Amino acid sequence: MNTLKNIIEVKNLTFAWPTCKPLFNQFNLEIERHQKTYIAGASGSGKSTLLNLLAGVLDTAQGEIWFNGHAFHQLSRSQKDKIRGQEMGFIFQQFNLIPYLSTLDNIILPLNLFQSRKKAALELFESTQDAAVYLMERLSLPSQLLRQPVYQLSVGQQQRVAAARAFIGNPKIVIADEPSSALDWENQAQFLKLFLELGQSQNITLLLVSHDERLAPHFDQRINLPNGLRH
Amino acid sequence: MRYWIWLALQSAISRKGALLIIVFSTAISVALLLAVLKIRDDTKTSFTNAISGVDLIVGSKGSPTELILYSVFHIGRPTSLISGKSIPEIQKINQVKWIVPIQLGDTYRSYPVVGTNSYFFDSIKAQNRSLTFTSGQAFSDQKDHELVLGANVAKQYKHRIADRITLSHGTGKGPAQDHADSPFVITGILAATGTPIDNSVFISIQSFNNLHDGSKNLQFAQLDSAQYTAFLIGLQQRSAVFSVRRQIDALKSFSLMAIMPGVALDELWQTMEIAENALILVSLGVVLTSIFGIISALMVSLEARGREIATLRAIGARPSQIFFFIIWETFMISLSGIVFGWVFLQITLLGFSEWFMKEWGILIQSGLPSQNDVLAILSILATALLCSTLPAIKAYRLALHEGLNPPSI
Repeated sequence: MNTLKNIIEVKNLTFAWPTCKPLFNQFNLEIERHQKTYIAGASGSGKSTLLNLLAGVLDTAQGEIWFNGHAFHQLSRSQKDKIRGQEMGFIFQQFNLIPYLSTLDNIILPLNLFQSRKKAALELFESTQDAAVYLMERLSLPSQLLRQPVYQLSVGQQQRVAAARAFIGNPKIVIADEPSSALDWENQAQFLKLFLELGQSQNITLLLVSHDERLAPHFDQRINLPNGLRH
Repeated sequence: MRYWIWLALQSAISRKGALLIIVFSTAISVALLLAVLKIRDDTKTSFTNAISGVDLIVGSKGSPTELILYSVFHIGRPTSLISGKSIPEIQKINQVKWIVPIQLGDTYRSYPVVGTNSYFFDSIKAQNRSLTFTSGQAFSDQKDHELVLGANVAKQYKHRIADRITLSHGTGKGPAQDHADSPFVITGILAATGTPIDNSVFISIQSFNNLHDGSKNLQFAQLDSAQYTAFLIGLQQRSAVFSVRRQIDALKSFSLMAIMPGVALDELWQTMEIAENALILVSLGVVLTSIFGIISALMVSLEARGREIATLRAIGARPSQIFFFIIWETFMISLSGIVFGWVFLQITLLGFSEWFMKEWGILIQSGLPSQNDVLAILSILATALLCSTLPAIKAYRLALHEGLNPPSI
């Protein structure tokens, strides 16, 4: 399975929200394994819809979506949920940390929900905590934050916790959706650098969706979404 | 699964302020419902146990419920008395083992005075146990001015053996009602029974009649001519109860009525059933209200938890797991409400049981939940879980349709 060249293949995807013009019409997309891909998406371009389709949260109406050899267009929702949990990591614009959990518990959340990710983490580290501490170091997060509730962290720190959570337990791909729009440019650049380095060193495919063109030059591949405007 | 339970607990703890109020209101409503059930059950048990060992109660013709209320529980008064001349007639009936006469009407500081004979202390059982004296002994039927105190009366006024006390005529209210000219000597104090006996003062028939007759030298043989409130009767064999009752009812020229205490009490409960059901209904309403409180609090909190749900979805949580996550929270809240409510009730009952005993002669026992309690608790839990499917379905839909895009706040 890992010999497949493309980790994501979208073939002839047609998708429309009810009573709306199709967002995607015979859309094709290929994302190569271990590549860093930048998807340019202004608001209304169907960016969120595409992410939900690639994540298997939305069902494919027409066309094919392949992820790491899994035919998402044929699988049941719970099968897709499982694959997403085991093989994907997400970083959101709003970071979406669980406010009542500590930094550590937020980072190791995927390990607790999916045994295969826990196993992957424990192959390299003595404990899940060690795996979290390692990622925190890589993302320049002080280890004193480990036991702190995440709501006490600064915006920049929260974003790095979200990144650590996406990278833990060796996912096949990490998808970031406008991950840096809440930060100033200097912090954005800093975060992007750490994000790219981490993906590189762990051999993880990276996919970044953003409307900030300044980020594009750091990526191997750039994809434009077909639709500029929704409706 | 265990991780989800832990996560739900963390989530609940983070909102503990609001949830504690909900738990508290659930606890109060559960305590109220259990209290109503408890008092109902214990009232019945207390009433039934108060006259164990008595097979028949005989009084003047009228309402069986009234007869049992005034003769055993000293509630209300008889419309007419029965003649002592019937005693030998009743004694002649086959199967009658003992007959204990009862006279009522006087009080000692609001506690009822019971005129009876010393057989009362040998024959009557309370809570299925024979009566025992903590100190002293029964009065002598032949001696005047001797009396036995129930446990509560002795405790209330700190009376001891050989103390002298004065009884009041009737309820003791109004001037010149004391039998001050004839003080009584305490010969015995009964052990507590958890029945109206604890709240009674016992004197001999002889003394009772002497108090009310001018002539002070009534002999035992003359007692036949006295008037009585009721007779308590024990039989050789319980199975004879119907035939004996028929024979007493048939005694001409006395106009007697014999009732079986259990049957009369059942009639009493039937008349009380409407009030009882109304009370239970109100308590159920309160419980239901607090369950709706839980559910509405959950519904409202879901508005703010869209991001939490979207996050869990992104990490691979299935909508069914989100559903369980919400149901589990309701379960925790209602269960802790029930547990707190039960503990709260037990503590309250412990504090009030003496008052109940004194004021109502009802023995309220705190202890493990009864079968009814367990049934009530399980129904509350089931209702709460059933209602919690509402927010759970909402969360499920949110998980299914909002996808990875949480509603922005």
